[in-house]
Amino acid sequence: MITISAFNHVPDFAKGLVRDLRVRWALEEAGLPYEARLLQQGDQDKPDYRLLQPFGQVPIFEQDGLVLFESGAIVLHIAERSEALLPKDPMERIRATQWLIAALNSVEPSVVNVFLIDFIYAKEEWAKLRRPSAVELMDKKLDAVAKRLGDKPFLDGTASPPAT
Amino acid sequence: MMSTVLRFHPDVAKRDPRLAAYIDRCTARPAFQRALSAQLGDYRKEAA
Repeated sequence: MITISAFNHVPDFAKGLVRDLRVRWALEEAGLPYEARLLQQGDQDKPDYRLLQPFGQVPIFEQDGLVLFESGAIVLHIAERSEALLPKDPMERIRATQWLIAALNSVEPSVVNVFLIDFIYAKEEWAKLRRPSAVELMDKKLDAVAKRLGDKPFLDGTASPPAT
Repeated sequence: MMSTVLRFHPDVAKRDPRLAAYIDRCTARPAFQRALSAQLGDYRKEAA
């Protein structure tokens, strides 16, 4: 059985955004059943969990003695084992994977930055000062994604989200 | 993966109709809806 970790409670603004969602989604697309190992706030910093997840984040993925952290690595692991998510051809696979990495490395930081400014630190003076340039950077990334997407249904024609 | 990233801020969908349509296309997938229900269900379970 596959087990993933998730929190049993988060503030409203984080509901539907916490990163176990993308792993649950990949498992659902692949048709793989799983169980959730629910953490209470604070459990993520206990030594037994930190042994499995160095940064004290969710999710971790556990199956038959394999323990993985980082949602991107976990989604990739699931996708590589499911033709519903990633095609078999190595060239097609790496083209899809580059979009997975681009999402996490080139786009997510700028979007999360504006999320933090607007939803966590909105009342801080520095947040008001920081916001215009943070939005400008996010919009540049978004425009690049929109341009590549064009009128295609997905970023990569052969792989299925969330693998791409 | 990109759609999960774009969902972090509601302004993303307002930036470009192509992004809005893309996010809708991804989140309308039955597998996404099941995943979302499961995550929210685990929060509700604890609150109950």
